[in-house]
Amino acid sequence: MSNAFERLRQRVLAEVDKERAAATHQPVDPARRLGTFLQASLGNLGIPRHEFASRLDVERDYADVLLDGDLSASEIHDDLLQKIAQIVDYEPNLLRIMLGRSALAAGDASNTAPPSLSGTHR
Amino acid sequence: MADEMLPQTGTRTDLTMAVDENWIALLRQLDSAAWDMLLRLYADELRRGIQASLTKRGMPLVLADDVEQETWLTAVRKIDSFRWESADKLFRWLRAISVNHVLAYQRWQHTELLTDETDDAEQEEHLERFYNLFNQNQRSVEDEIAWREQLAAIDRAMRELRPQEREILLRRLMGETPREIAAAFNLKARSVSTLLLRAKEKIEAHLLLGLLDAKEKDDV
Repeated sequence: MSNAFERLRQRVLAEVDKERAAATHQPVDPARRLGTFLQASLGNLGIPRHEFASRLDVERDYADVLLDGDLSASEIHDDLLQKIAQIVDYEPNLLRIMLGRSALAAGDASNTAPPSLSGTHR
Repeated sequence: MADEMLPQTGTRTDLTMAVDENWIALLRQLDSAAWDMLLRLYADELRRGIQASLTKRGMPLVLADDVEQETWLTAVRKIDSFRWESADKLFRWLRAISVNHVLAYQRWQHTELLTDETDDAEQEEHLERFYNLFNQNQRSVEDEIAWREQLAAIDRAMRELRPQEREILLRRLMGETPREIAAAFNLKARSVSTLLLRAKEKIEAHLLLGLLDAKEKDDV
């Protein structure tokens, strides 16, 4: 068996293993991914949960459910995403992509980076 | 794994005769032994076909290795779409995949393509752990801690990037390939790969800083 064939064989069998693992692993819940990312973001910006809730103009319980990833992705509407994006100083498209939604075109006004409201943004 | 269902030894003809619908089912189940046998059965002939296709189009034979690997990886990913009729049809299916890859290579400029392939491979290696954590749902406690540390590092790194660069990094973390991203942004795949490499370095730098901060806190 040639070295080239052995290299090919190893690469293909590694791909078989990878595909098999992917087929059995549970896909990530997009709402949980968003919530955990927002927790990291708020942590970096030094914004506590109660302040996040206040800036978002929602009840603290609601903010907790959102950040813990327990609010279903279908319940996270685009206007809410845009407000969140403003608080964490990101383009709304980033949060849309994180939720597995289509990103808007670069020139779309609703994807413009908003002025920072974070106050502690580096 | 049903080893007894697989052809173990024999001539090329014996092996081909042993290829049947049950074997295809094992390939679909991503059974390593079944794929190993398929490689042993068809790799030589497929490679000769790829070389003939490259020669026919006046393309360099040095591309044969890349086309061959891409062909097999595509076969692994797309085996669900193959409808079994005969061993011959299975080989023709593999040939069709290889010709598609030859045509794709023909469409792109060879020099840039070869560079991009290298860069893609490097990205896969470097970003894989971030990608895995970003797309994995069930985690151990250790993974959960690593996941949160990495998300914090990704967030810090993203804040140092321009808006378009952030979106490119995120799309990659969500599973899009550099080529898909390049097409979406009308950029060269090589530019995307370079940007991703820079982003990866930023993430790792922030991960390291995070670990150092944690250590300082522990020491205090």
